[in-house]
Amino acid sequence: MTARLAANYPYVFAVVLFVIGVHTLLAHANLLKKIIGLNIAGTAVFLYFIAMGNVRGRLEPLVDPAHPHAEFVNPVPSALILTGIVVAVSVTAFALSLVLKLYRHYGTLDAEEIVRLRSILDEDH
Amino acid sequence: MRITDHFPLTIVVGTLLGAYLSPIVGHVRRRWLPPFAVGVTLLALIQAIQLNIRVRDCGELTYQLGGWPAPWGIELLVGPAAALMVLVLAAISTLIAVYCMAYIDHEVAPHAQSWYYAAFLLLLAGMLGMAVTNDLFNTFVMMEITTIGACALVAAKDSRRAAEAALRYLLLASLASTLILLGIGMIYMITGNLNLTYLTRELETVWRQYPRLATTSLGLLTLGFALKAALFPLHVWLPEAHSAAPTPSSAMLSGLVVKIYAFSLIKMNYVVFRPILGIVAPLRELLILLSAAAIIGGSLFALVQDDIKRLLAYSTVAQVGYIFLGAGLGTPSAVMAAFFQIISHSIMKTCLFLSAGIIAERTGRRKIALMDGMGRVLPLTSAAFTVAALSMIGLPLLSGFIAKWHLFLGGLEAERPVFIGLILMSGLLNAAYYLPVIWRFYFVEPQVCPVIHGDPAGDAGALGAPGSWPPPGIRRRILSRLEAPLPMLLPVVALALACIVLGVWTGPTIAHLAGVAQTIIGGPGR
Amino acid sequence: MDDDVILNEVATRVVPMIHVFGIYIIVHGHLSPGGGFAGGTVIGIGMVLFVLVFGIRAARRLIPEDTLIALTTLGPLWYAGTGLVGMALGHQFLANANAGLPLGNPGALLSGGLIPVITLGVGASVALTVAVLFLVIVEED
Repeated sequence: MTARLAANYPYVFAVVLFVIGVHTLLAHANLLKKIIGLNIAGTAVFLYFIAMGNVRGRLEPLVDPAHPHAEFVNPVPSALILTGIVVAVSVTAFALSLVLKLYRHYGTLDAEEIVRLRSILDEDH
Repeated sequence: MRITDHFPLTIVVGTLLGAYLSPIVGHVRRRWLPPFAVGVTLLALIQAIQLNIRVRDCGELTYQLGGWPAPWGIELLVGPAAALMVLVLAAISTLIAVYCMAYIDHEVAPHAQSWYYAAFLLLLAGMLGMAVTNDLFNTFVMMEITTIGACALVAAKDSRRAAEAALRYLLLASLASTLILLGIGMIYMITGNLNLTYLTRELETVWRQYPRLATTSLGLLTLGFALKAALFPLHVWLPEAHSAAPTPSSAMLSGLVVKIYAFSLIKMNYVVFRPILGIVAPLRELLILLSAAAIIGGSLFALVQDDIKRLLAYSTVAQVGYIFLGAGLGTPSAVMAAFFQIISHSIMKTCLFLSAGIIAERTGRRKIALMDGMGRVLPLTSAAFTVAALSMIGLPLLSGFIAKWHLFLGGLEAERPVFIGLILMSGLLNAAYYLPVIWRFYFVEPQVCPVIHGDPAGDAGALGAPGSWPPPGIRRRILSRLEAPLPMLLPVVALALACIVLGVWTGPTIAHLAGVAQTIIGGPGR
Repeated sequence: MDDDVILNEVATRVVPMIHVFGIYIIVHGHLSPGGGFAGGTVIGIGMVLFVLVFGIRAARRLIPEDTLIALTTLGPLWYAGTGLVGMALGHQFLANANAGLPLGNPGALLSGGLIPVITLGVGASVALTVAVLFLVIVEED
């Protein structure tokens, strides 16, 4: 069991990172930390993909006319994750701009504080 | 290749192009934006109709991007179910785009409008892409486009409530995307394919070797899609997001976005992961339990709302339960009912949200307690709202009844009559929160009569330039008799009529949907 | 910040180099790791550095906001337009070699049919998107 875990250490790291990320997203009240948590969880999945595509001892997938029979790692997961990173960047940018907007309205980044302030503001209406 | 051969692709890419062009169009002339968006959605609708005819006549259509053959390239596949989804998406969003022509200024600031339309069309393109793609990773990309577009539509309204709702929606939807991506990684790891057809074929042999990885993958995909489709108790983001958004966005989110995720969930469970259908029965059992909780819980929450848009949002939570109930039961009638509910609920909920939008725009009222006497002030709008609400309750001769009836039959087929009681009870609950609104519309004397702000004829600038036919004088006379600008009234009335048509003239629809359900649950694993 | 001599002098020399490096990555996208996204990000970061050192007003003088947004939307249009070439030749969207376009010698800068063309569009839109995102977030503050 331990030997198998040690041999597949990237997956173990990915799972640990994923749990850290999801915990940060759900358990922290600070909005910025929530976004960071989301990014950590996303990165864990990226690590999982990259580890999946890697084959130990093989080359990066560049066609070199000098070595026509070279064996490559699987490039597909890397290509997919490039797209995944683009998506994560756009989601993060969007989330940050929303956090900015909220900060201008409430003057705080604390989700619980925002809920409290909102209930006060709504009563005033 | 003929141009029609490209339709599975152009329906997505054309809409996407429209999304990117709209900031430029808005920069040149802001008044061109609404007709431009209607044009783009109409184009998608025409292609959707043509696709449906093609699929009915010649069977499934495939399209290989860049000409790369199937296991390597990205493949688009339009089967009967996808064609149906595409038609629903294009038709409803065309009506919403028409509604926007007169409504948009009410809730979206002028400088934000070109971005609003960009997000609107981006969202439509993402959903169309999710419906037609036959590639697992492409599904993920299209889903992310859908998510970002949907959140942008919520955030378009410049209010703190909207920003907060959009952020919560974005964070939870992105968490769901991460779960789905992890699921995609697992299934890719054991099958080595992203093309859904080849993936299924490969899964038939490899699942015995990796049963846990296969089931975990399906579990993650199901969890992710259920979170995005707001299955109870994962619905916490929905009521706020759907009620704080501008009305056309609410209609889009409640009417269409939730449905495309439910559709993907059905597709993943029954088509893509068909080989392991036998060993994931507990997952379907969980879906059934949660959907039962959604049907009752969503309605109970809706009972205590005082804001009409929040009521409609909680009603969506309950109605999505029907789709998942049908999907979980998995008998032919139940899956057919799930598809019927997808269509019928898109029509009903869009109609309800849009008419609530007319009420809010004309009279400035959103609280249910202030709806008294609305039937006399806004007769057509109230009539449309009433028809759609009665259809929600499940009155015979309306589309909601047909969905419930076939869910009944599905419950009998699965030999679980307890769900018949559940559906009856939910009908009563629906009546308990929709009937008071209708009662107030028609039978309560208002203490302060609602006043219509503005003049429908004056607002209807989008109808045509001066000098066009009919001449302004006559047009003004016709329009001033209307309660709201024509572009707003037309979609609402059309949707209410669609409720009636689907409920009365059921034969062909049922026959077609039964065929669709057959391709989902019974057909060969293509 | 405008008066800081060291920052100004270093940035005047570094920003062009960053941009040239970004362009290098983009145009070699079909030959080596990197391409539109990586190179575009490098160029975008160069623009961010420019804004950080010389301020938003200098950047706005160089490229007005409307132009920037119009250019950002042109990237995807370029991509789609490249895809339409294949369709115009009677093949599928994004068709390349199978639509009869010349592939050239593998390893040469001008090879790969439409791939370098499409990478240009990707690079342009990524670079400008990074810049626009940064400007939007900075200006909102």
